Amino acid sequence: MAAVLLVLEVVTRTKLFAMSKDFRHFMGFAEAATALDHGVAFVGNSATRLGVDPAIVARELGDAKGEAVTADVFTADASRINTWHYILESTFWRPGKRPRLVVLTFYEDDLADGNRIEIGRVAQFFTTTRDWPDVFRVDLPTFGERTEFVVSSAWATYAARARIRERTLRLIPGYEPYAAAQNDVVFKHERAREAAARPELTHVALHRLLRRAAEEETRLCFVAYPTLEAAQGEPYPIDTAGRAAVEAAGMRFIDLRRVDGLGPELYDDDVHLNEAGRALYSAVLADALREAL
Amino acid sequence: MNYNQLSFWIFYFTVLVAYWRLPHRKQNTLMLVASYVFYGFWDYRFLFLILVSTVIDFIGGLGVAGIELPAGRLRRLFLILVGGALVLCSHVDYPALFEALRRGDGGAAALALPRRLADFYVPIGAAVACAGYGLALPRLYALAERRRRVVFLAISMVANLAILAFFKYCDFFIASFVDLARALGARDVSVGVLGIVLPAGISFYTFQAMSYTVDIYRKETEPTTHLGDFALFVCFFPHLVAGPIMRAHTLLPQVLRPRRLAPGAFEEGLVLVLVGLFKKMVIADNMAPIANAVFYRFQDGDAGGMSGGEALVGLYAFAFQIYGDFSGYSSIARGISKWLGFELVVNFHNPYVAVSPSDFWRRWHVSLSSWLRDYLYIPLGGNRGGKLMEYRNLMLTMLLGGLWHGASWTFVAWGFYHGAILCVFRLLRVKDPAPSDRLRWLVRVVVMFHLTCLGWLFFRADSFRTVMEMSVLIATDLRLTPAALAAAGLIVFHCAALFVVELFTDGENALGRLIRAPWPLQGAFYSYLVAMISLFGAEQAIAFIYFQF
Repeated sequence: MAAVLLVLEVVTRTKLFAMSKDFRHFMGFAEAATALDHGVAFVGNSATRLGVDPAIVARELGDAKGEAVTADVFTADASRINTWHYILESTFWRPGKRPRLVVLTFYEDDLADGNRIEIGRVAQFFTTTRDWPDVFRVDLPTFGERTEFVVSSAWATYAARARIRERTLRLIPGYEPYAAAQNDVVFKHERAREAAARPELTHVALHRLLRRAAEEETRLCFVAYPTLEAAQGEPYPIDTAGRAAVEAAGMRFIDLRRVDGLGPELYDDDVHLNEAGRALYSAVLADALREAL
Repeated sequence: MNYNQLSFWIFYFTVLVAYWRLPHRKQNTLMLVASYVFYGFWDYRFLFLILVSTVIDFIGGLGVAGIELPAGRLRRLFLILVGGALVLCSHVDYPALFEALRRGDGGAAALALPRRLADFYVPIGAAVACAGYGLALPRLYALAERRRRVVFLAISMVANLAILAFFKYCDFFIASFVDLARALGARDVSVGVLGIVLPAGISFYTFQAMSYTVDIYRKETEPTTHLGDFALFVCFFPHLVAGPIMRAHTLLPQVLRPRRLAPGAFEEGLVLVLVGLFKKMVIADNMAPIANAVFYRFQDGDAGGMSGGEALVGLYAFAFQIYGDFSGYSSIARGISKWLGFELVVNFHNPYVAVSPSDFWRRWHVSLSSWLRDYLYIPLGGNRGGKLMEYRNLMLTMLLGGLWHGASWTFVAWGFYHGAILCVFRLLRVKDPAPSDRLRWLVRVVVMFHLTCLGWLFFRADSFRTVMEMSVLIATDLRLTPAALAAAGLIVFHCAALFVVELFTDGENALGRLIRAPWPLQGAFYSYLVAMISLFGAEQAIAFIYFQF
């Protein structure tokens, strides 16, 4: 049994990490941050990955400023404020890596505490043992989560199990579209149930991020993203306490929940934009960021 | 604290290490404390209900057997109850109290203590009930033997059923009454439900406590005079919240006698625990989203475009979810009990290879079906008194069995459905196929599996509207769309291997046989289980379904 687990661990570290597009993306953060130089970093989840074209933003901003502007995305799917904090800690708050602006794209309650965290990913890619006290204090309040985090830090196979599962299950014909549709239904219900069970939104992780950004002299800009519902005229409510915290910290808050011209034909699903939608939104985003830059 | 959470295992192994270093009496004390701590993790206030059930059945069992408790012992028992009510149910804000004491802040500590009269309603009620019962007991002891036995039995039954009725069914009955009144035209009826929180496992421990008094009444078991041992019998933590429901004559002697770790018990326990975790984390928790995605869409009125094939596969997923969930719990309960030197009854025998409804109930939740048979069906007359009486008794037993599962009309309908198919099979005198007749056996297994799934539709659906819509869709549009095939693929991937193993080992009962298999086979099996649990266990730990029953 031990031999089987050992073999799995070796395969995960040597093969799977190299095969996975996401993992390669995470492992390339440091290099990308260096290449970014003094540019604009977009941090977020899949809404950012599929919604922001850094080349368009860089070009638009560069044209407006009359100088070359670099931009790149640093995303982890289904991540929220807790993970973004550690992406910034591990990628930018290092000597010699100072982006001009970090843009965090969020929707609904992404800025609030209590959302699910993909623990294995945070443990393997975005934290070191130095971060553990902070992780335990702010991000993972339960004993089970903390144990999972510690195990995930040491055992890459366990940390990467979501990826391994996905890769294996993709061998089932029709799995991907089925899983996407199933996730939509279940996620909507669970999100509604979680929101109902949560008495009020708290923002401990957001305050921590704002404090560290101030310490590191990093300018942050929070952008409320246009989901399909928001684009169709029913925008999700803005997290007012979150917004107040951002503005009180002297950071910028841009409300792009409604963007002219973004219709259902420009979305792949309830959240993610297609290529044409990405081009339109990226141009609008660049326009909105001009002042912040 | 669930079996699928690491915190449980740390708790359990701490108890286990201490347990085997202690002599028998102290082992029992440790287990009693551990069981109360385990239960208290859900909601410590409900420990008071377990105390009430324990004390009433302890006195009741002795009363039925004609053993009088001396006044001093009675006083101590009542003091335990009233003290328990004060500690557990008088709205002390314990976190605030401990924090205040840690800081040495007397004022804050006082604020954490109960101050209003309403905070003391439960302790006052307990004191009044104890005083009344204490005054009545000498008269009850003085009754003629036959009468005394009946009276003590009745007190035990009424008390347990009252606890169950109030905490599990009160809101259901209120809501049903309001619905009925409105249906009859009384539009201005507005009785609010009480919003009572359902204590975990209440149906299990009340049924177990009741069976103790009944067994003594039937002279099938001897009462114990040791309160601690009896309390442990009621709340033994490995099976406290979801069974199996143990009979006094099976579990109580194990509590009373010194225990030892039998040869092979550790290995058997390990197989049971691993298989149980696999069933829960790999099968049940991965089947849940497949089933939920289908049922949520019907619930939301958003099932347009779904084919009957997709709905059917969602229903299959629920069938495997509930089997994995419940038999997984039973398996873990048996495994961890073995490590403590206890043997719990086998609760599942490959239920999905049943060939008839009665065969199904010999295989599914055996401890409940045998409980219902022995304490309800047979006392009602069983199959004595002609066919009509037999069918009536079957229907009544299954209706109450359905209601036992949950306070909802869909559960009652589930019980009715199972009662009906039991009656139909008996009416048609459908005989079980001979084991050698493979083809007939296979056809009957497939038919019975689908009859069972139809029952699960009532069990899982939120309303009769969902039952109707899903049934109609399955019956009229059995297209196997790519989504249905993908979901079916997921079911096969997660469930097939274990079902094949179970088919050859007779389910939960004989998985221990694996420990006698050649080591390469054992190694492959353990590796498969561990790899699947580690890599394919659902990321979100879901509470066991049967905790709510």
